[in-house]
Amino acid sequence: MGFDNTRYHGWTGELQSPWISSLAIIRVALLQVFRRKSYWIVIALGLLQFLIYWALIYAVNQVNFPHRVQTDILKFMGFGSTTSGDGNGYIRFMRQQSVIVMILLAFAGSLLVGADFRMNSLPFYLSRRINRMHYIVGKLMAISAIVSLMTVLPALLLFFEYGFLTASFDYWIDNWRIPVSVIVYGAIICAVLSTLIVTLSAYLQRVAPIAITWSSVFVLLGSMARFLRSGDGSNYWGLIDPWRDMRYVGRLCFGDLETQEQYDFACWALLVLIAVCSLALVALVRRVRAVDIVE
Amino acid sequence: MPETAATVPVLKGVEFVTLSGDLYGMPHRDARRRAHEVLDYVGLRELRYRRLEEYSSGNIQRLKLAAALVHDPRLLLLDEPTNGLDPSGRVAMLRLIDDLIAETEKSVILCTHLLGDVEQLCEQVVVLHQGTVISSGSMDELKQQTGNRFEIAWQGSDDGFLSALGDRGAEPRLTNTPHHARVDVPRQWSTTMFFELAAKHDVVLTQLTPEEENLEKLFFRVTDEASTSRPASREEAPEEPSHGV
Repeated sequence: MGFDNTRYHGWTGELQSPWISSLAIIRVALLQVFRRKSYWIVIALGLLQFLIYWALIYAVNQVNFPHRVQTDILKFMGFGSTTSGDGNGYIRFMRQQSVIVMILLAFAGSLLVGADFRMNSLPFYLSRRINRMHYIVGKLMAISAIVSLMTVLPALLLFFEYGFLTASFDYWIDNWRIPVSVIVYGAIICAVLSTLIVTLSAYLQRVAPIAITWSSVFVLLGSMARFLRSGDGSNYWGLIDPWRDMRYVGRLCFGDLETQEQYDFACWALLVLIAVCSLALVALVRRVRAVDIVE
Repeated sequence: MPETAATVPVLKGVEFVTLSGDLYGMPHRDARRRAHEVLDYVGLRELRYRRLEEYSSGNIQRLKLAAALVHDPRLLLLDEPTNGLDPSGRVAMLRLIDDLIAETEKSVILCTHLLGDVEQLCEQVVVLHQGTVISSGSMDELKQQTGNRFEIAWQGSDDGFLSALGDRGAEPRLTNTPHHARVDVPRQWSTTMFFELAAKHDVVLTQLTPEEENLEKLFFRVTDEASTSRPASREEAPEEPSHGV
């Protein structure tokens, strides 16, 4: 007997946890970002940088360059020595990738989060079985997935490539701390970027204000920090620059801090990032409501 | 089914309905399969792989109905389902909802300002005025509440006839037409009493018509009554009237 599509058919089945439903938000967000052709210009920049690192790591391990050339290439990539491939290169790679992600998120924030508020789609989400915590976690995870795909995943691939191209497992064994550090540093980048962009997008909603505010947070605050630091010489003005904070926390993860002052600064930077993200989360929870309450 | 667009940009129709099922907690495979079924049912089979930006207002309304149906709920809450539709689209949407009710016996709560939609689809009506329920019941019950109203016209003197009607408990209200009035009569009233009173006051009745009240008239009557019975709250109320069915 055929299936009659013109008639209504019921559905019976087991319903899953709302936390599993949140995964749908991640899947759809990735779909939205990768389907927009204009975003591929920015994504392509990230891919290009990854391919350059990939090619250079291959070159220094497989091609017999003169020692000086090999050293120059590794220095260009941020790696300190020819043999160990220490963490600096990965920090530099992830930092450069996160700049590209920042540009991508400046545009994607409006699509992924702002549109839900602008087009009144929030009731669409919150009238299902998920509540606002599931929605918020879903959106944060979605942004984090995009950030991870462009920072953590390629950094790990580069690490494994570096090890593959050596004659033994020694590189992986000696540098076991690097993939762990990449993951932890990536988690910090994901947490900071996702919390800030989701909150900003929830309030500002449209591309232009989000992009302006987003770039102000990272560019203007950085310039201000440099200006204030040059004024009285206090390094701690740098704490108002989120890039610098993330960079120092990254170096803390990679064990790459040389002085006690740098270590102290990194700890303060971590505290600042936690405080900023907490404030942003509180603002976000207050913003996400199924129904606007009009007095 | 929300009144506003409430869609997710860049997605295709089938992906949007699947997302709706996913968010409800359906397993993804089930949600995907079911999305195809309900899109077929609401008549969007050919458009399911198009992006939502390419959908017309009518198709967006159908799509939202599909998204509301994907997990097979027992109760559907439809907020202005015919909002923004042209007349043919409106008729098609109402027919679809009507078929759905008939075929599945689902309960539907329809929230709308279009009273024709209510008359066509609903059995029970709740009238809201400034956030308060001011009337409720089945369509027939609500109409019965005002079944005792007549339109009359006569030839002869007004005063004696109208005051006699008032003495018997009727409430005549003169219209702009001379010798013409609408009369609310008590429940035990008999139409022969009009003729008796007319004969007694030397008046000839030229028209006696029971006034049929449709939902629109009923709506205005109950909202007027609510407004006049609550003058204090009316002053406090917002300037824009906020009522619906």
